[in-house]
Order: sequence, then structure tokens, then C-alpha cells
Amino acid sequence: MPIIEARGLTKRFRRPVKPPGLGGALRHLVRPRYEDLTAVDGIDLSIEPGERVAYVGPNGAGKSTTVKLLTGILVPSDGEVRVRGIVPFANRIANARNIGVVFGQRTQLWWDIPVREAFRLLGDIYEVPDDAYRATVGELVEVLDLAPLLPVPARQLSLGQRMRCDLAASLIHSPPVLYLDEPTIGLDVAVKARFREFIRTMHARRGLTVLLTSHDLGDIEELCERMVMIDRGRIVYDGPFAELTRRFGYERSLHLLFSAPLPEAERVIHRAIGERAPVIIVQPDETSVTLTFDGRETSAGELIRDLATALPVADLRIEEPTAESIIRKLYEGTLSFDGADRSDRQAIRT
Amino acid sequence: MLTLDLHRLRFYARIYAKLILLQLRAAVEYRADFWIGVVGAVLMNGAGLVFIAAFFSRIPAVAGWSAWEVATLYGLTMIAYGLREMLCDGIWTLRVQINRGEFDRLLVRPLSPALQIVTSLASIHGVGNVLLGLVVFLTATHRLELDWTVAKVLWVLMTVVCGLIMVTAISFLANVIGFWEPGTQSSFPFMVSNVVEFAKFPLELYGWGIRFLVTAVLPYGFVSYYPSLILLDKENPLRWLGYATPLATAAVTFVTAWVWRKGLARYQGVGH
Repeated sequence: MPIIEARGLTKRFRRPVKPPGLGGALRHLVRPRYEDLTAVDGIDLSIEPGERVAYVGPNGAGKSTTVKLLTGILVPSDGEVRVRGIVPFANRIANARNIGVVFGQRTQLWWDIPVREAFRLLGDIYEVPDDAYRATVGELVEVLDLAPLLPVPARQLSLGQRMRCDLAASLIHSPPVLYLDEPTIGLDVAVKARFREFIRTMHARRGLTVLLTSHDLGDIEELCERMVMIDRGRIVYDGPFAELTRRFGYERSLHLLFSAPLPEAERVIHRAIGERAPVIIVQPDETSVTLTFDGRETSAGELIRDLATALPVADLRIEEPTAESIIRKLYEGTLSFDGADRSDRQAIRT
Repeated sequence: MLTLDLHRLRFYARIYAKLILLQLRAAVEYRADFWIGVVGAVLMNGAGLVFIAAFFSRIPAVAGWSAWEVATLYGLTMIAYGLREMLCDGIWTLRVQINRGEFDRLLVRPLSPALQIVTSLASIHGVGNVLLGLVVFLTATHRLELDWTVAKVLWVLMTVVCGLIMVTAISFLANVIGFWEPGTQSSFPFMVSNVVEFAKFPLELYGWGIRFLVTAVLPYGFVSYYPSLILLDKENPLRWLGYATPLATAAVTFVTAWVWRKGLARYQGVGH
């Protein structure tokens, strides 16, 4: 049975439209106008216990809103959501006992209170029995190396130290579900590596279910076997991270460097490859050219065979798609040869 | 959530006490801040006291109130207000927390967000106000040769507790506006809160507008004036209102709780 389940989950916001200036503000007071904004648009999500899921998407795609819906901070406009069988917004307190949440941008700790007291307070708030508290905090302090930080109030911690303390704070009540909302933002590489190691350790030891939002590909690649990508409130990809390159990695590039200037390479190339396959040609200067093509329809080998005799090729480089470039292109909506980009293809053919 | 659950209530009381003690301890640890806060509070209210002293040096009584009777009102108001600053000042951080998105984290803990907001700050400023208020109140009642019976001691305790709840509830009410307008610039909550200044003097001094305001709209009159009518045994057609102090406090608390719920529901509906 899934531990996190959402069906048709939707969140619409009604935002006031205020014309600029004082006059606009006054007009808004008299006759308010609103616009509807759908931040999360009918999301279906099902996560099994022990899964580690990366939830990614460009800024403003609806990631944080989804996390807020799953944690009970926001009430959905439509659809259903259950976490461990509990409807988060309807039963916020019961849900809070089942989840740990880390917001990368803000601390969970009390600004002026030393870390040790904050942990003890959380133990009291979550009503953790004494022996369980000692065991858990002992483990967390050891794994995260927190001993030197215990007497320090949160305001005096560095970002990396604060993140370690926040992680510990989110796990004091041993929740089965952990939400990490951009946990590694602003952290240096060493701290990031440590953070990932910690999550892997806790996952192995406790079978935590982890939902991570991040813009850091390393976090996603190293921590999550499954990736859910959201764009404009809708899920555009849900599957194994490794399959991303296989499924969307058909767009390849061939960079050619000429031994002599060739201003009209584009025309020559078209004549050489004829009707073989759609190719997008970009010529940044007279001595080089970049061909972008669909790996499902032609291969770099065939293109090189056709072009090597027609052009004065001095050097060449084939660019394989990386997960990063695929994600970037999905974000930007510029993944060629696919869906909306068919028009490009037509243009090239004619 | 309005149902009374004794276990839950005891649990909340314990968590509240722990949190506020830690916050007070943290506040004391900023040594310079501590003294600036205490001395500042004393100086600010000291100026008001000097004014009363100067005023009454020429006139023996105003609207039937002597200098020490006015000082009694002054002291009671300061005690209630100072206790609020010490024990419930966190409400003033609500707008900032909403504005910066920090309010979210309060909703992922298994604890009432109101309790978390109240305990997010303890102002050491309040210590000065409470101490000065106590000195003024005790000196005034001593000079008035007040006959301290058990009933009167209990009456004063009730007044202080209700006063604390009243000023806290009104501060809450004034700040809950943050759920609708999270801009931190508006001085609205301060204006509302400062109406308490009227309660430091007998309401006979004011016109009907202000009397109505502090009796029925922002009933700060119940923090000191109305209960003092009974404590000081004053002849007044509105004397009976003194007995309504707990009722008025409960009513304001109820309204505040209702508006708070509306605000919270709005926050969970639209975010910020």
C-alpha cells in the first residue's frame, strides 16, 4: 500500500490584481479584481514505503506547493491526498507526528535557543519516550557529528552546521516519511556530500520514505531512484532517474570544425544529407558548425559519412545528452523533435 | 479543537512553560539588551508617573480621583502589560513570520500554532514594567490605607490575570491582520495596542467616544478601571461593570480565537 497517495491533487490560488500606483491600490479597495492561478493541476502521485523520490521542476512549477499540500500546510482546492492513510490538512497534528520536514531556506530550530535544548523541546513536543529519545538523539549526534554544536544557539550556526542540526531535528520523533525541500541550497560540496551520505544511511537503517525537491542534480542522482518532474503544475515525467537519458536522450549534437572558412556550410550540408533526417544547423562562425539531430532517425556515423566528403572537416566532436542537459531542456521546453517542436521539423524538411 | 481535553491542556501548559522559560533565559543572556530593556521600560513609564505627580501637586483630585487612586490604575495596567510582554510577546512576530514564510514550519509540528506564535519571543522589557508597576501599585494602595482582606487580594489577583489575558487577546486580534495583509509596515497593531494608555487614567476624564471605545470595542477599561471601582470602593453608576471583568475578558478571548481561526484557515487556503 502506498504511504503517500495523491489523486487529482489541485491547488488554485486567487491572487488580487492590483493596478500599479496609489490610484491602482485605491481602485482595488473599491472594486477588487482577482485572477486564478493553478499552481498544482491534477497531480496523481503514489509513493511506496521506503521509496526515495526526487520531485523536480523549474522555479514556479508547483514543487513547493505540492510539498505544502502533502505536509498539511495548505488545503487542496480539489483532489485527494493521504499520507499514511491520514488526510494531512484535515488532521494536521496526527499527520505532523508521521512526518519530518526540512526546509533548506529556513531553520526549524528556535533562533535563540541552544541546539541541545531545542532537541529536548522537540522530544517533548512529539512526546518521545525518554529511552527512545536518548537512543535516537545519541545516534543522530554521532552520525551527524553534532556534539560540538549542542551548546550553541541556532543563530550562531553556519549554514552547513544549521542544516545538520535541522536534519537531526526533523528525525527526533523517528517519522516514517521525510520531506526535504531544497535541503542543499547554499551548501558547499563537502557538506552536500555529507548530507547525501546521511540520508542514504538513515534510509538504509530505518527504511525512511524520502521526498526530495532540489535543483541539484547530484542530490537527485545520488539519493533517488525515482524522479517525478513537474512543469506548470502537471507531472511531465515519472519514472526511474536512469531511464531519463534513455527516453529523452535521443537528441544529439555533432560539432564540426573546418580546415578552411566555409560561410555557406548550411546549404552544402543540406545538399549532402538530402532527405536523410531532420537536422537543425547552427553556424556560430565561418569555421565551425553544430548539427542537432534525432538519434532515433539517423546516427552520427551516417551523418559523418555523408559530410566528410562534402565539407573540409578538420575535427569533430559528438555530444551525448546528459541528464542535466535533458532536464534543462525539459525545463526550458526546448526539447527538440518532440511534441510541440514538430513545427521545427517541418521547417527543416521543406 | 475547541473541546476541552485535559491531557492535551496539561501537555500544552507544560510545553508553554518550557518554551517561555527558555526564551526568557535566552533574553537574559543578551546582557546589554536586558538592561536596556528594563531601564527603558522604567524610564518610559517613569515619565508618565512624573506627569501624574506634577499634575496632582496643584489639584488634589480629578473627577473624584486622588493622585494615589490614579497611581493604582497606572500600576495595575503596567503589571498586566508587562506580564504580556514577558509571557506572550511572540504574537508581535506573526506578521514577520508570515511575510518571510517562516509560519509554515509551525504548521508541521504537532502543536497549536497559536501556542507556538506566543512563545516565539519573550521580551525582557516586560520585567521592568512589571517591577515598576508592582512598586507603584503597592505604594499607592499603602498610601490609600487599603484594608487588605482575603477577598481584596483575590480580587487583585483576578484583575491581574484577566488583565494579562485581555491585553494579550487584543494584541493577538490586532496582529492577526497579518493573515490578510502580511506587509510589515502598517502601524495598525501598534495603534490598537497603544489604546491601553487610556486605561492608566480614570475614564471620567474622557468623552463618551473614548469611554465607549475602551469599554465595548477594545475593552482595556477592564484591565484596571472597572475592577478598581470595586477595589477602591468608588461611587459610580457603572461600578457593576467591575464584576463583569472575567466576562468581558472571556468575550474578547472568544472573538480573538474566532478571528484567529478564520485567519489560519485563510492562510491554509491561499498561502501567503
